[in-house]
Amino acid sequence: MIINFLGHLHPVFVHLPIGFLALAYVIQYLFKSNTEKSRLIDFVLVAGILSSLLAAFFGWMLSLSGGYEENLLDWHRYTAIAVCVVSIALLAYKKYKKEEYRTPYYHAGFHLMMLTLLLAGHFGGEMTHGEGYLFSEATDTETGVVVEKQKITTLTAASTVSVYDGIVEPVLAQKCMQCHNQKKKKGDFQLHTLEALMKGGKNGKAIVAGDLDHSEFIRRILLDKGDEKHMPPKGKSQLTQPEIDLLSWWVLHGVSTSQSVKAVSANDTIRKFLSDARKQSAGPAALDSIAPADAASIAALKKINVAVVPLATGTHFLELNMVNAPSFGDKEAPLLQKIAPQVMWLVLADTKITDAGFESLKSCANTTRLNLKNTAITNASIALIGQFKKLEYLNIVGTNIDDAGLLGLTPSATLKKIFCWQSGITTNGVMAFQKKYPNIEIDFGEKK
Amino acid sequence: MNELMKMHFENKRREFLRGSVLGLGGIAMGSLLGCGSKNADRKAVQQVAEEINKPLVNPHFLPKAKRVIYLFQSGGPSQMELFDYKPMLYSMHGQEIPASVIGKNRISGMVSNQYSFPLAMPAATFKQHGAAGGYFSEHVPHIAAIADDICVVKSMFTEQINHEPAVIFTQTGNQLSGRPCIGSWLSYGLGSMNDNLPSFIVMVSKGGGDQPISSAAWSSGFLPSHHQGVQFMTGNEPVPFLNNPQGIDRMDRRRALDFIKGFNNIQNEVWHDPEIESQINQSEMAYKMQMAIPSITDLSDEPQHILDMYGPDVMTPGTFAHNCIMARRLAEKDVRFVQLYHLGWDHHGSIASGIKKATSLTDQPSAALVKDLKQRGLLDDTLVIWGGEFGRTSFSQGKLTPEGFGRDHHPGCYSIWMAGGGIKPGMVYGESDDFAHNVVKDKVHVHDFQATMMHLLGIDHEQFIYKSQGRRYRLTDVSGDVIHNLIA
Repeated sequence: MIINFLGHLHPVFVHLPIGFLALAYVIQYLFKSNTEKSRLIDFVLVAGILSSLLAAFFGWMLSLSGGYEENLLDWHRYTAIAVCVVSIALLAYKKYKKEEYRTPYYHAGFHLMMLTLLLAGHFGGEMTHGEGYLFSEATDTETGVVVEKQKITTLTAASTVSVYDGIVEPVLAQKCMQCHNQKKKKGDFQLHTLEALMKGGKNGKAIVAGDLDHSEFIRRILLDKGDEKHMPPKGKSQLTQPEIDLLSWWVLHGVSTSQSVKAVSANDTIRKFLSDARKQSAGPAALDSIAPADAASIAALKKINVAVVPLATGTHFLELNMVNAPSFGDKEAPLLQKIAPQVMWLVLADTKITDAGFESLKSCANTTRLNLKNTAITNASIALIGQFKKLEYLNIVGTNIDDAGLLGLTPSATLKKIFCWQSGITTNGVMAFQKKYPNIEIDFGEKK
Repeated sequence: MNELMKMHFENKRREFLRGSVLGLGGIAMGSLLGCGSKNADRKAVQQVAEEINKPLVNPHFLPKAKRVIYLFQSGGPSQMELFDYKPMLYSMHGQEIPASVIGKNRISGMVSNQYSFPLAMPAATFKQHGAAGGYFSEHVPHIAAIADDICVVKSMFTEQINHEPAVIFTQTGNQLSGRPCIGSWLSYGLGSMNDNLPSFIVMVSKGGGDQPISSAAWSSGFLPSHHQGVQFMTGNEPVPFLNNPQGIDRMDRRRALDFIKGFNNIQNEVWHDPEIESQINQSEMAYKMQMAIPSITDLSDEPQHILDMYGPDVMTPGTFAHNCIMARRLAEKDVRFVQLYHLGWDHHGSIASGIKKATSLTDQPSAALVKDLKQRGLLDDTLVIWGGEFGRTSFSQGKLTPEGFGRDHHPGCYSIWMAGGGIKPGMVYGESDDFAHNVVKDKVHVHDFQATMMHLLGIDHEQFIYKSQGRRYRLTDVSGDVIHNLIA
């Protein structure tokens, strides 16, 4: 406990000797010689020596907590001890020689101290940030492990790669291997290979295949975020829910290495994980894939009180809402033509639009939500509605569209919901449509 | 102007301290004491403030919800009598709550001198409803009937044990009043969709009960004051003075407003006080509301079967049912945030009759609102929230008598429900222990709830910040995680 605490003071003190000793070096070689300078160097050297002893002591305590790669740790340890020894020797030599201290030995000692200092610092840095940190690319600095995010997102349900290689390992690489890898083994636990993962760490076995309750690996992940033992620790990038589900599923189903993604693709957890990974790579890209909308058209629409609102920061897709423009009708509809590709949400509810005006909106190819509530739209516009290829939400509440219209609709593959309360549509129509398109949720309302 | 000058000074406190530290105290002092406080300086100060505090205008990412209706049940609805079925409480009726369950949890001063904490059997029977098989009490049959449309969260917990701080904590993210509430944050951040109505409207139902609610719960705090909630009155005239006085027509009103605005603009040129702009905004909004409000508040165009959905009280202004149908009508007009408050959930004594009364006033209208929004296709992008500031204890407050008992405040565990706006429908989230005292699975802190709500509106709660008097603030203060499992 106390050792742990003392160990954690190492990062607090470690930068002091670096500063002091380097300062002594700077003073030695930049300042003009006089008695003041000599006294100043003495002072700074003493400060450097004391702080380096403290830092070394705390560092030793930290090394006792384990988890560091031995080879690197040795290099850091012995170079750091060298810094202490050389700086003490330097000061002792200087004091011993009194006024006559400026000998070649003295300068050699000073340079040696600086060199060991640089080396010790460098090895310390490699331990914290991963080997090769100094010259690595900006992207995978922290880990030293190459993370292939691409690997997950390009997977499909038909991939024959194994679940472990294809999705489990990349998740571990992204979220865990920064501290548990071949070089750095926090808690004596590594998971860069399956063998290491199964071997476990200082708290024993990490994974009991098929038993979530006794798998420390899963337990740590599921602990409250505020919990001291929660993994990944506070401040590190956290696992997402689909990732947690995936890892739990994998452990529960026997930690298989051979099972292919294809073989288990029907499983809900896997499907959800894959679609989430795809969404993450596809989502924002789709939103910024459109050019800015025609400014003149927007100005003209705003002039007649149409709310023209970007859907989110950084996208040119728009929501058009006529809540302030109830008189919007067929005459105004052509104003939308130039910005049609950008219109993603289109709210025409309670406007004067009719089939004639709706005709001019057919170029809104990217519209996902179309609200025609309480308008004079009839069956005549049904074919046109079918042409909204990305439609997800359709509101025809209170329109004159009836069963014939509904059944005449060829819905887009993306359509999820239709709201048709208080239209001409009857229960029969809804049932017939539902039979044809069981995946579309159709809301018929309470009672007529 | 004294107040304004005071503010001006206080605003610069940090700059003053910084200046002193750097040994430039004297110079800083000069500008502080107003020597250089000219018109141009004030303008510059305001410009800097505006530079830092830019409203979002657009959400950070694609939103799932465009508006929110928050049915706040003030007083602390008992989770044991509504949504959190605990069979153990029936069998252990009268026995002491195990000390290990209470642990180090805080209990309020109202029961801390009790010698005994006997568990009390819920004054309700429960049945499963909906595809998810969630339990609902006999007191909420209408909400039970929409089980497939709502998500019940049984694992809420808060940090506050008394009404005022707990309400303020839920609404502003901080226990002390003075910070902006959720509605003000949204009004400020996302702006209004409807030019003719305020973006944040508050309705408090009357005849609820004992604990009052303070208007600090819909205050805009340090945000410009035209973002505070506009409260509708409970009488026949929800917005007073809509009609012009005798002999004044709308043109006269316009001319008067323009004239006053001219004066205000002159003052604004001199002082650059954001509150002057708020005043101008509010006058303009009032003028527009004169036209827009009557069509909202007049229910004569509602067909009878819709009115019947909301229950018998719907035509009585000031009732929760009336406010619910008003909330729907405001949502139809794209009002960003409608906040309803219903009081009367503070059942320290005779909870059996208390819960009956509270649910008889709220159950049917709450469910009707969700159904009505749904059939209009509005529930899809309207988030409905139903919940209070904390829960109640499973042990009795005072003696457990055959005539009845009450329950005390309990922050450690309570239930709320949400619907629409991207919330996963037909779900029960989280679990409490056998005594509904501690959360044992999927904890949801008030800040988590707020973060999730913001997320549904397309806002990253960690990026939505306002700097005031040298400190950056957010609704979720310095914590809160989005609960992705609640999101469809």
